[in-house]
Amino acid sequence: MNILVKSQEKTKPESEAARVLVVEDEHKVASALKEGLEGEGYDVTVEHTGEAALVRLKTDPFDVVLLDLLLPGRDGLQVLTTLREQGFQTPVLVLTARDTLDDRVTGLNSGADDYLVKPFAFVEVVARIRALLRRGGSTGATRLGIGDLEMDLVTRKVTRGGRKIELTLREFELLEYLLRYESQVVSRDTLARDVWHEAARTTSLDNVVDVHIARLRRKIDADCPIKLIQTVRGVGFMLREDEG
Amino acid sequence: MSMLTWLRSHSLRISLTFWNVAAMIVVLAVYATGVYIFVSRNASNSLDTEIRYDYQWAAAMADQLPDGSLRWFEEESSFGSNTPWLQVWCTDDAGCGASSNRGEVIYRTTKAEVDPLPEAEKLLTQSGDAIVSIPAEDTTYRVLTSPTTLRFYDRAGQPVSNKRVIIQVARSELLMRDEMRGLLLILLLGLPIGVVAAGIFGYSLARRALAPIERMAEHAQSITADRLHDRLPIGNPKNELGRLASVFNETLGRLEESFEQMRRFTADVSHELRTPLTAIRSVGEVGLRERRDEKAYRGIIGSMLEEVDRLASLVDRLLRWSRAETGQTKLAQEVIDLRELAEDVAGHLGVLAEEKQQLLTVEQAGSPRGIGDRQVLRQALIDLVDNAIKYTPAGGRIRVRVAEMAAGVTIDVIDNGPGIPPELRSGIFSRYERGGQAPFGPIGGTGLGLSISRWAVEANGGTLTLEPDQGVGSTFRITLPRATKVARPPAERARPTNAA
Repeated sequence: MNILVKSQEKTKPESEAARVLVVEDEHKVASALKEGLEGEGYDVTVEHTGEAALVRLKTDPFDVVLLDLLLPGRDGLQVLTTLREQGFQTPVLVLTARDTLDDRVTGLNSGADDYLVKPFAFVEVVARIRALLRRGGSTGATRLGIGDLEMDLVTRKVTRGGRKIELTLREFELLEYLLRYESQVVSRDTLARDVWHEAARTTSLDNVVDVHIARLRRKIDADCPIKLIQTVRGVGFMLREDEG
Repeated sequence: MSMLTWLRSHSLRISLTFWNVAAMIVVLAVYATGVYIFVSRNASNSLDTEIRYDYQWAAAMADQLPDGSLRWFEEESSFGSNTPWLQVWCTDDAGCGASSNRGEVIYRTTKAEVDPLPEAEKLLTQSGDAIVSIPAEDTTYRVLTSPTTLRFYDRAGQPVSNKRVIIQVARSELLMRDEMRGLLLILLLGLPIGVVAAGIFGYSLARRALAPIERMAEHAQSITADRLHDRLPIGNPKNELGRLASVFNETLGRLEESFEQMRRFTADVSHELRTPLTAIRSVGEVGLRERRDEKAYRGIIGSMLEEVDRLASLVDRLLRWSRAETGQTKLAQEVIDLRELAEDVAGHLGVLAEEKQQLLTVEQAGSPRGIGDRQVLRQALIDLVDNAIKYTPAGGRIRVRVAEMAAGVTIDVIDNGPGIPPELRSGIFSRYERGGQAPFGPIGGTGLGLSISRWAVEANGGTLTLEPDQGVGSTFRITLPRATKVARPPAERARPTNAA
């Protein structure tokens, strides 16, 4: 979690921390989520039952809710339905161990904004929460950059230290994505979904992602002492200026 | 019908016996009726014949006494109890000088005197010589009435006089009725005896016939999951029971095979699960044994997370496989441009081939368009091309060729790698086979890859085949149904995805 803590300054909303309600009965998972999300700069509250979550939501405003579907007593879907019936607009990210499409459809139809299937990667949770919070507004930036690496989204020019770098379309999209989430770990899952727009992650896709990362690395980092593209073992990739 | 319901709820033996008895009753009843009708007709005919014979005898044997009365050569006593009922009427006005115009009885036997049958007189006026039944006190008589002319001769044989008479002959039906009653009694007594015999016989026959089945059932009961190698004895392979036994044995064979596959699969899967689990545990335990710097800990945790990733993708694959197996995956029906699909896949995996300095090309013959679920077929093609890239050495060549054939539209994935050893070719698509040392399918050796691909293609009404060895490399062929001009719009789709 050390890396994530370090990136805190970048992600933390300037005004105040976004409030996240985690509804999860599995204590180990709940506390890991709490600690990790707090490390990301969120204000996290944990509830272990559906009833408690409903009570809590009536009194406290939250920016996003993480809702486990399999809860003791009232299950996640019922909580979600009740919430929407009562007019709550808070975005809900559903966590489910049931890997069936039916459940997903039900989840989305009953008012879920997004879902994640267990076992999920933590970086994925962070990415989804960020996406839910950012909904509706885009940064609108035309230039992205980190250190001496610069990317112009309009002319589609990429330079490092003034030296022009030729990228294929896919490499450009990949670098753009990494730049948008600089200093954050981006998992292969996220890349598969957001850059390759594939519904399912497969091993062959993992290989394709790896090859593209390797090529990007050759083009961007090969001749420079500071390596920008870093691999976080077992988690994903990250674009960062300083050495971890 | 409640009878049938009752029968269905009982053993085969009982219902066989029941049908046997029922059939016996029907057969016996028909037979008895036939016999009775035949015999009674015969008896009636022979009674009539006897009466006519009596008549002829009466007409021939008459003799006139000097006083003008009639007499028969043979005395009544010679007939014994079989004396016919006989009376002779004279209707000849001149001959017998009768005062009555209807005629008078000029002769009658003792029997006719005892039982005069007043009704008989009415028959005199009838024409023809029909035999008429007349009821009497305790029986029915059959009476033949017929006119004749009696001719009398003198000693020298010269006819002396003629006399016109009407002879009436009758016989009682009593004897015949008695006989028929006896026959009926025998037949009616025989029926229940036959039925009981049929029941006993049928039951024991059914038991004997069903005994081998019972033995088979007992034997089959003893064949449990642990003893699937056991087989039923086949008595005579030519008869029905032998065939039943051998069919049952074949089923057992298949069952054993699938149990064996299951065992192998479970072993494979638990092995696959155990490997990352062991790695996680040992990396964690060893990591905790001594104090390390942050970088070392990160390495340890990262290594553990990599194993978790392996576990997650294994579980995911198993889920997809089981959903495919149980047919929970619904497929779309859309028109697919195969060239476009092939180029999509080649573009997707192109970098992997480039990394190995392989040439990945798409070739086209015609503009084949197939029908199916594009996403599912695309994944199957991706797996095939990925395999080809994986198993073809660096610098090799992989061609994806789409074509229109007579049988449908095809996509061939052709590589010039080492090919597939002949001993592995047959089992390459079966779920748990592995392609030698190099496992097919991304998760270590469970080899789900090609079998999932095959399922994907077959579920879309196509086939996935390994083409005959051409000496170099290997060729996998997907054949799909051709898209007709009017294709259905893409249906609502539900297919397994994995976001984990």
